Amino acid sequence: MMHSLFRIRRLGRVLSATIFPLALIAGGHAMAQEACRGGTLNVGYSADAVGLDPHLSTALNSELMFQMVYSGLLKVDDSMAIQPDLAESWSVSEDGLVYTFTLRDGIKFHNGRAVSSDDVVYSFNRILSGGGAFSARFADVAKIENPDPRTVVFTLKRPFAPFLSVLATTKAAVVPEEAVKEHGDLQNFMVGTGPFKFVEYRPGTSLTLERNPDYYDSGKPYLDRMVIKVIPDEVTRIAALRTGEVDFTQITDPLSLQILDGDDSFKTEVVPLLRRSLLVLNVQDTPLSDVRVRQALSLALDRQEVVDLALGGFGDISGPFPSGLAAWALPLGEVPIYNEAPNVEKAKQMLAEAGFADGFTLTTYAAPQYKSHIPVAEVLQQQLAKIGVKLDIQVIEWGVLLDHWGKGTFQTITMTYAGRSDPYFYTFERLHSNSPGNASRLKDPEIDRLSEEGMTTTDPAARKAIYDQLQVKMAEAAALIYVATETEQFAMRKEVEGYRGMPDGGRNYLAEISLKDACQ
Amino acid sequence: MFTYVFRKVAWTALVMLVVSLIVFGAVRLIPSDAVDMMFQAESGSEEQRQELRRMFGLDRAWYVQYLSWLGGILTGDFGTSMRTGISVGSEIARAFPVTLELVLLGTLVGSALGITLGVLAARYRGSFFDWLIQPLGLIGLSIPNFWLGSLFLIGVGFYLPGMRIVGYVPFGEDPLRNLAVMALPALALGLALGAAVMRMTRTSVLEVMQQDFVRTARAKGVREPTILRRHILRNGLIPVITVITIQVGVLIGGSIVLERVFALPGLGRLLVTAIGERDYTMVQGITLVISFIFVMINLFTDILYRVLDPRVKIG
Repeated sequence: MMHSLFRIRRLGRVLSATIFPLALIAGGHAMAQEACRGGTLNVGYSADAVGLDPHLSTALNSELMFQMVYSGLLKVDDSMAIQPDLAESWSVSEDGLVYTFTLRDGIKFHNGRAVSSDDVVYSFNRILSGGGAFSARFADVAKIENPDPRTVVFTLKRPFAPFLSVLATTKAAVVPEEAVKEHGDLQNFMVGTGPFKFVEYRPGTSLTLERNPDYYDSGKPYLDRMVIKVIPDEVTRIAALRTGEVDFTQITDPLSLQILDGDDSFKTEVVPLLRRSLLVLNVQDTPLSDVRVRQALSLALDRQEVVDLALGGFGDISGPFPSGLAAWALPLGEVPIYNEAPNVEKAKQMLAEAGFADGFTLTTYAAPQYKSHIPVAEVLQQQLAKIGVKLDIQVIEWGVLLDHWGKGTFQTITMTYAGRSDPYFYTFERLHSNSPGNASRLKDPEIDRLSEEGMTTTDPAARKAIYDQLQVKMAEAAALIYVATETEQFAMRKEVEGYRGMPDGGRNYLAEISLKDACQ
Repeated sequence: MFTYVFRKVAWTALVMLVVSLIVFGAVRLIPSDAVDMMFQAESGSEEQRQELRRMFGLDRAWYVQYLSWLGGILTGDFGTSMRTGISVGSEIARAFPVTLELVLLGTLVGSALGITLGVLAARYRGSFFDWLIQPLGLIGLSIPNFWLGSLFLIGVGFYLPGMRIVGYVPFGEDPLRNLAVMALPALALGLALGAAVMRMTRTSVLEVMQQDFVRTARAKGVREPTILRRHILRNGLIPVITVITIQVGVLIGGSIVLERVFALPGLGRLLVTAIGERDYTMVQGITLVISFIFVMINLFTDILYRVLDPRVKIG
C-alpha cells in the first residue's frame, strides 16, 4: 500500500516537473513573471564615495557603491537574515571556535580568473593588516586556513556569536591579489565578483558599471548598465528625475516626497530602517548619575509625538532594540518604562525623590549634518519642559560633536545610531564598561555580564533568553534613551521594478532592478 | 619698473608663507581629526586610532608635520589625501578647471549683461528703461545665487523636461554638453555680478558724459557713435573693469554653494567635503591654491589699472 502511494506521489512530482514548464511555454506572455532584460539605470546619490577600495574605505557612500561590484562570503537579505554569497554553505563547531565555509563552484572575478580559497585568505589578511574600525571586529580571529581550493576555515580565540554577521558585508569582500598589485590599491579601480563590473569612475560626478555576464547567480542582473550619479542637492536630484537624467533616486528629506505627489509617472518607496534617533546620556555627570533621573526622562517622553512632529510621521517608536530586528526585539509591552504611556506626573515625582523637585537644566549637542537630529532635539525640549527639565540645545559641527562623544565631554547628545543585524552591536558595543563605543560611560556589572554571555553563547535559544533580559536591563538603566526608528525614501520612474529597501540602509537590491520599458 | 615687479613678487611669496602657516594651524585647531572621522561613532579603541594616526604621520610634532608638508609643496608635491590616499595635486588639477570655467563664464555673462544695460541706462537716462533698471539692479544684488540656481532647476524640471541639468563633462571632451550643463550655473553666478557692474557702469559713464572733452568733441563735429566708443567708453569703463577683476575673487567664493546645487565637481565642493572629513592635506592644498589665485588676481588688477590709466604712475 505504502509502495503504491509513494509511486503515485513520485509520479505526481514527475508530471508537474514536465507539465508545468510546458504550460508556461504554452501560456507565453500571460504566464511569464520573468523580468525585462536590458536597459541602463541612472541612479542619483547624495554624496560621492570616499575611495572605492572595500578594505580601505569606511565611508557609507563608498559601501553603497561596492555593494554592486564586490561580494563577501555571506550577505544579509531584506529581513536581515544571513544568506550565502560566495560561500554556499558553512558550519560552526560545537565549541563555537571553528567556522568552516565551502565556496561555490565556478565563481570568476571580473578579470576572468577563477576564485579559490587562496583569494579568501589573501583578502582577509589584507583586511587585518589595514587597521581601522572594520579590521578591529576580527580581533578574535586566531588563524585562517584553506585546506583545499573550496574550503576556508576560521579559528577564533574565543566564541564570538556575531561572527557571521560581521562577515555578511561587502566590506569583507574577496578581491584578486593581482589587481591590488597592479593598481597599488583599489581606491579608483574595482575588480570583484559582484553582479556589476566596473567601467569608469569620475570622482565627484559618476560611477559607471556594466552587467557581469559571469555572475554566479546566473540570469541576474537584468540591467545592462548602471550609472550612479552624484547629485548633492535634493532639489537638483528631484529635478533630474523629472528631466529623465536619473531613473531612481534617494530622497533624504521625507517631506520632499510631497513634490512628487499626484504625479503618476513616478512612484515612491519608504523603507523603515533599524537606524534610530536617541538621547545619549553621560552617566558620570550629575544629575544624570542618578538612575531615577534618567528613568524619569525616559518616562516623560511621548515618542509617538516625536515621530509625528520631528520625523513628519516617517518612522516608528523604538525600545532598546528596534522593532525591525524581528528575531530579537521584545514587544514593547514587555519592556519596562517603554510599555507605559508618557507619564509626566510620575516622572516629576521621581525627580522629586532624587532631590530635583524644581527641575534642572540639561545641555544637549546636536549637529545639522543629519536632517533629523535637531528637530528631534527640539521636540524633546518641549516635552521635557513639562517635567521641569530645561533642555538647552547647542548646535555644533558634526566633527566637533564626535569629538565630545569620544571624550565624554558632554551632558547629553541627540543623534542617531546605525542599525546592524546582530544584537551584539546594540549591547556589548554600546553599553559594556570596557567598550570604546560606550559613550555614556555606564558601568553596570549586570549589563556587562549579560552582554559578554550574549557575545559568547552560540545556541540561538539561549542567546534569545539573554538578550530578552538585557533589553529589560537596558530600559531600566536608561543610559541611552531610544526614541524612534527612522526611514529612508526613494523615488523612481514607474517602470523601475524589483527594488527592495534594506533595514540597515544597504542598497544591495539595486542589482535586482529591471526596467519595464526595456523589453517593449 | 623692474624693482616694482621684484618687490611685488617678494611680497607675494611672504603672503603665501603666512597663509600656509595660518591654514595649517587653523584646520588642526578644530576638534576631531581624519582618523576620528573615519571611525565616526563606531567602536574603536584609542590604540587602534593611534595606529592609524601613525600611518598618516599625525603623531609627529606640529612643526615637523608643517615643514614636511611645506617641503613637499615647494617641490610641487601637495601630498596625499588622508581619506582616499589619492594625490591631492591630481584632485585639485581635476577640480580646478571646473571652478575656473564656472567663474569665467559667470564673469562673462555678468559683465556683458551689466555693461550693456549700464551703458543703455546712462545713454537713455531719465527714460522708463532707466527707471526700471535701478530696482532690478538692487534685486539682482540681493538675491542669493544658490536660491536663484535652485529656482532655475525647479523651473527646468517642471517646464523644460528635455533639458540637461546634471552630468558635468570637461570642455575638451564634449564642448556642447559642457556648455549646456554650465549655462544655468553661470547665469545664476553672473547675475549678481551683472547687477553690480550695471550700476557702476551707469554711474561712471554718466560722469564721463558730463566731461568737457566730450562736449568739445561734439562741438568739433565728431559723430556720436565715435564719441561713445573713443571717448566715453574708453574712459568710463576703466573703473568698471577694475571692479570686475576684483569681483572675480568674490565669485570664487560664491561658486562653492552653486557647485553643490548643480552637482559640479569643482574646488569649492572638494574643499567643503575635505573640511568636514578633516582631510588636512586636502584642505591645506586647496586653500593654498585659492589664496594664490586671489593674490594673482590682485596683482593683475594692480597692473591692469596702471596700464589702462596713464595718469597713474607705476612704482
